[in-house]
Order: sequence, then C-alpha cells, then structure tokens
Amino acid sequence: MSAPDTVLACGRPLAPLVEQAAEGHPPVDLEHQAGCSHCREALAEVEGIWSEVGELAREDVRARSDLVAAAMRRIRTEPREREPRPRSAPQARQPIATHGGGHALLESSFGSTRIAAGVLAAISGRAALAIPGVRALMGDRSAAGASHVELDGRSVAITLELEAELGPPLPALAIAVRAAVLAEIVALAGLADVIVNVVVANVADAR
Amino acid sequence: MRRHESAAYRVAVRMLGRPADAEEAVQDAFVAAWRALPGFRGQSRFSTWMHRITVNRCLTVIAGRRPLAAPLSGAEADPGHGPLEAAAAREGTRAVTAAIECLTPEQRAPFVLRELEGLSYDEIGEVLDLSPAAVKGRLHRARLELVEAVRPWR
Repeated sequence: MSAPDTVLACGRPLAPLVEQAAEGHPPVDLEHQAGCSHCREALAEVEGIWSEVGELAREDVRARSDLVAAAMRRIRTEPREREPRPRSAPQARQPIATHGGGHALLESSFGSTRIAAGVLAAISGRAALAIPGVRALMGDRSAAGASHVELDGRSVAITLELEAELGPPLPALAIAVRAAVLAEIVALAGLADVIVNVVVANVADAR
Repeated sequence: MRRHESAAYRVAVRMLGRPADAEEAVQDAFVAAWRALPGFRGQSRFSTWMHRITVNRCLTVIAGRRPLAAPLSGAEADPGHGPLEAAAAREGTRAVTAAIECLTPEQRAPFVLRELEGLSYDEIGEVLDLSPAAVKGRLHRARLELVEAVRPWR
C-alpha cells in the first residue's frame, strides 16, 4: 500500500495535520488553519481517527491461555540436545550445584557466582505477590519472602506457601504463580533447572 | 513477567491479527528469550529486549504467510474470543484495527510500538534496529497510510 500524498481542497497537504493530531505538534501555519474550513474539517476528522487509535491502545487485550506457562512446558519437554551450542567459552553452559547447602553456584571459566537461597526466596516471593489473588505468603519465616528453597544438585526447588483470595479457581492461581516465579528466577538468577511447588495454605475473603 | 507476557501478546495480536497466531508467536518468543538469556547482557532494558524478540518473531510469521495473505480485516478475525473481539465490534476501533493490518509490516511494527504501546523513538529504534530518524520516517508514513485507510469508513 502506498500512501497517496493527499492534498486538501485548499492546496495544503494532509500530512502535517496528521502529525499535528498524532504528536500534538503546533499547526505549521496557524493563521491559515484558523481561517480555512478545509483544514479545520480535515483536522477534526484526523483527530477523530486518533481518538479511536487511543481507544484501541487502552483496550484490555489478553491472551486466552497462560503463555508463559505454555512456553515453560515446551522448554522443559524439549530434549536437551536441541539447546543451541554456546557461542564461546565464557558463555558456556553454567552448571548449577549446591554450595554449603545455602547457595546456587554458577560456574564459568572466569570465576563463580553464588546466589544465596534467601535471595531466591526473595525473588520468588516478590514474583508470587505480584499475582492478583495472592494475598500473603506464609510458611518458613526464616527465609526472606517466606518461601522454602531447596538446592539439590543441579536443580532448585522452591516451595511457596500462600494465602489466596477466596473466589478464583486455585489451580489456575497456582499455575500463574508458578509461571511467574519460574520466569523471574530464570531472568534474575540465571538458573535454568527450577521446580516451583505451590501450597495454598489458607484462603481469605477478597477485601 | 506477567507484564512482559501481556505486552508481548498485545504487540503480537496487533501485528498478526489472529489471536491464535499471536499466542503461538508469543510462546515462541518466550522460548527463544529463555534460550537467549545467557546472551542478554543488560545492554538494553529487559522489556525492550523482549519486544525485539517478539516483533522479530511476528515479522517471521508474516513473511511466512505472505503469499496467501490478503490482509485480514477485523471483521474476518477469529469470531467470539474475549475482550478483543467484543471491543472490536465497535465500529471505530474496528476500522482502525483493520487499517493497522493493511500497513506493511515495516510500518506496522513502529506504529504498534509507538501508538499502542507508547514506546519512545529511541526504544523503537532499539527494537527494530533503526535510527530514531528512520523510526520517525516510517511512523510518519504509517500514520498517513492509516488515516487514508480509515477515512473511507467514516
């Protein structure tokens, strides 16, 4: 589609009026515009279209299913050998191991990174609380974020005990929490082998 | 991550039209993002990086279906799924939705990111690998195309 460079009946191009409406630019020729019915009419029309663009932007568009969870399922079921080869040595796959029971260990040829269990607890707690329907976290008070983190060999198992809002289906809530925590642990801590157990320990009426 | 999911889906559904295509593209984008995470160095914001992967995925999908694709109008979209269609039933936004789908992919991407997602020219440049000036140029054409396409509906 090629845009015709529309010229109005007064000889002025339409394009500056579009920019005026879209960007809030001042009129290129205020004096002409003020006196020209063609320009004013076209501008009103363009502004009308732009208010519809704004309406479209405000529309609440949501996927019908949990796409993060679906992607995570695919990642987990795809065979390991389909993972792309690391491009160079420093980016080589980072083995994850426990260290002293309290850290995840990311090793590279340039050194190691340890992430304390409490950090993983805090990350997962924050991710879980961001899900609508989760009212509070409960359980192991010794961990920040009040979740339990188990580092076992190359995998991290996170258990979240939570209080849910009474109303929405709890399995769906658990899936949402799991997906959010998984994604956040992957994104922030760089851990790949993650299990998230959700315990709905209590419910309370929505406020 | 919820935030990234809804933003990615919004962009994908505006880019691709069909909700089913958008859902698949977003899933693909998340899988690709997860695989590419070790390469993410924080040189841009995570959301910008995610947009980049999503938009590229959508452009690939569009390129793949082009030979058979008359642009999908809002009226022909998957019937009866949730708020998008409910809202699109309103005449005004339906015309805009249809017009967006008539833009070329090169114009549609900056239009969606700017007008519907509110990204800055700099951010769009990062997503699309374009200079802010090139973004501005494409956006200008896209807006004009859109207005020309919507006017006959009014």
